[in-house]
Amino acid sequence: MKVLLVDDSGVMRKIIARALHALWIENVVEAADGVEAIAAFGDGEGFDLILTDWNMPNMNGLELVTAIRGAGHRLPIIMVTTETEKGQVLKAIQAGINDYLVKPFDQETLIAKLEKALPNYQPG
Amino acid sequence: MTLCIDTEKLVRDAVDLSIREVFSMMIGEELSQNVVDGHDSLPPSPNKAEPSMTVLLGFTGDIQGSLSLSLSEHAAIHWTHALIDHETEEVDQTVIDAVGELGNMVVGGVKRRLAGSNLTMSLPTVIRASESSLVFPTSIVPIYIRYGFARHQMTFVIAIRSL
Repeated sequence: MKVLLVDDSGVMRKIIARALHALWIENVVEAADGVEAIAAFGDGEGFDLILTDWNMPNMNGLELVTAIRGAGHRLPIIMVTTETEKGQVLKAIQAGINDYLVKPFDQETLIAKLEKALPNYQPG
Repeated sequence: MTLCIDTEKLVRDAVDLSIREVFSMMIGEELSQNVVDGHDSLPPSPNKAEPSMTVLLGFTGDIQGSLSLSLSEHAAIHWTHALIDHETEEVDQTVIDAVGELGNMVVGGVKRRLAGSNLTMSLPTVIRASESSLVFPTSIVPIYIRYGFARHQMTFVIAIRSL
């Protein structure tokens, strides 16, 4: 299982990575913005999930999702953000996200979102 | 301009719910509210015993103003440790980032709770100072709310006016 984790906050990346590790997902590739994420993602080989923030420098989460879906990739994408304005949420859904996680969140909620996005994942 | 009391209460309640939500959900700690200072209170005295950190954010829209959260460096280190198990005796960049993220999440919650006010938030700024106090122009009447968590205290300052 391989996850691309995109957030310009190193602290938030650590929080989410810890939750991933609790699900025995150790192969986590981190990126600090959409440009780094695109470079790390490459042709998408081996990636099972993308978790991305919205507001990031250089390329934001919405632009990242648009680019990923535009290239034909169908893996699950979860937006992790404080942004909850209805118009913005709709934009994210139309761009192709599978789910939305609002900050702040507790570990249980994050794990539930991950399990929903990866229903066939078996830990260990 | 005299701020409508309803707007003031709306913002204060949104701030209170948001900060409690952040501490509860992210580190599992419940906050105690020690004092709510009203318009007639003096600003809190600078904490001369301990350096402090303040995360400051501005917002505009139907309501214009700023939110600031001040806490001691020990409180900031405690918050960071509780959040991501970060071990440090002194404030480092991770602690600064964690305090910035605290401000970001609180303000995000405030914005969500004031969804009808068309608010746009600024990026958080984290200020470190050995001795500091927040002061405002005469036209702005700030509201101070003090919270306790673990053995630490923090002060939220809300400075707003409606347009």
